[in-house]
Amino acid sequence: MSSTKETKLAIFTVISELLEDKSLEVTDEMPLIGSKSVLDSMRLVELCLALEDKASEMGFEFDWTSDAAMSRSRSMFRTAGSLADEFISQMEAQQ
Amino acid sequence: MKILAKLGEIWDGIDYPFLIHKGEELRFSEIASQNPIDLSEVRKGDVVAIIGDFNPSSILTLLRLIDIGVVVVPLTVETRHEHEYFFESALVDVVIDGTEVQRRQHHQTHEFIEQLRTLGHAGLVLFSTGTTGRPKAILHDLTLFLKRFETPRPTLRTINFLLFDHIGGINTLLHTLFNKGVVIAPESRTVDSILETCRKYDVEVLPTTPTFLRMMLMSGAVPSKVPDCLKVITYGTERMDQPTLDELCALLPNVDFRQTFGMSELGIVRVKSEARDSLYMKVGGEGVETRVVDGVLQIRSSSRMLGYLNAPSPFDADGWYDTKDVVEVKDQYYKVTGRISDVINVGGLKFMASEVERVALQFPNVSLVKATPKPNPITGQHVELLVQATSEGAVDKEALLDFLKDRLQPHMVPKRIRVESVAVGHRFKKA
Repeated sequence: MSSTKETKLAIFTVISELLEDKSLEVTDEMPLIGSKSVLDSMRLVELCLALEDKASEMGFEFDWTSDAAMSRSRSMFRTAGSLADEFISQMEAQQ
Repeated sequence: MKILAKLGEIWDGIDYPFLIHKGEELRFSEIASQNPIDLSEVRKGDVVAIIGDFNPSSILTLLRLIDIGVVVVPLTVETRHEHEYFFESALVDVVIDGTEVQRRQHHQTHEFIEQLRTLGHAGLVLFSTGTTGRPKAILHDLTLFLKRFETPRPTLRTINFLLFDHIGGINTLLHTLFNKGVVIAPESRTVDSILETCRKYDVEVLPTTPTFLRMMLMSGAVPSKVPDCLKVITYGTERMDQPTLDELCALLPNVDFRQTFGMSELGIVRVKSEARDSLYMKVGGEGVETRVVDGVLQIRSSSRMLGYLNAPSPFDADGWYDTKDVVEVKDQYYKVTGRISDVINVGGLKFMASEVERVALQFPNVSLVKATPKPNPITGQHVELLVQATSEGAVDKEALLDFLKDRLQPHMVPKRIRVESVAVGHRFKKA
């Protein structure tokens, strides 16, 4: 299982691949929802599906669609950092 | 006149079979000469379950029960594990299993059954095969149902997946008997076997499903293995797509393609395709009215069921039935684009799964596709697509995605594509 830092980097790489403007640097504070979001909603869905695939490769299940996940969704998708934190916390919970 | 006597007159002096079932020919004279089982236990107005099949003994018993004036519940051994539920739901008084006739004790009544008893009419109970909830007991007035057979109609030699417990099976049997027709039951359900049965018995009409036709195209059997005797191919029970129909029409220029449409709740509905290569159809027939409400087809039919015996009525106060089929209208013709449940809603933008499937089917080496909505907390739903490749080659997922992006609006583009087998059920419908 990857270290937390490596995992976060991997997630940021997935995000940067989906950005229209490739010059943007992904940071913890980069907003994913709201008026300042760098991704539109369809891209955000693609990002989550890509994370689902990534989790599957890493041997755990990334849940972003269940009722439980939905109730956390507002905070989970707020920034690149919060999404990475959620991913890592699900990974650790399933270890 | 009683039905057995009437059919005896119709078939008098005719020596060809009306049914070819499992390779065996069955003549009407053989039905009449069966040793009848003892029905002295059965009284007019009883609800009688008969566990049978299209064999001489079951057919004779079925006709005799209609003559007695019972509410008949035809069942098959395949559903034996559900029989107890069926007996209870249909308030069955008598069970006939082989030669055994057994009375069942219960103290229930139902207004619809009482209604038939008051009128002195026979009844027919069929069970819905819905995918949600327990099967529903559909009660028809059989005396009214039989009236349609008083007008003689031409028959064509038809292959049929005869189902003793299905309205289509019973309707085909009665239509064939009343009109001196011949119906052939296929020995197995593979494409090759069915086409071989058509050739062997000079079949003129082949009723199918779109999934069966796609499999037939994929198998490479078209046109070489399709016999010349075949005049009409009908398709129904699920939505057909235009590319498949176009391909079939081009490969089989002498075959007429006709769409069928109906549901057990409504009785038999007549359908006329606009043209052999058109998915638009006129829905009508005697006593059948149609209307479209919010894009969904509703039908009112005088031959509709009395009602369910174990569920609330699906008809509104004026007798309209909501088919839950979303349609496009052109003149008086309808084209079904999907079920209400097939409506996909991505971020408030609605479209049909079929619109995605139609485009995906145009991609090289794609044979079967299924677009499904998946829930997500961001856009509510997104589309995922399951694709099955033809035997000729593989499907390049990335190339397919680019193809779809060029042809579909962004919200309709599948967010995930899987290439694998699309499940097909035993009645050749996508599972």
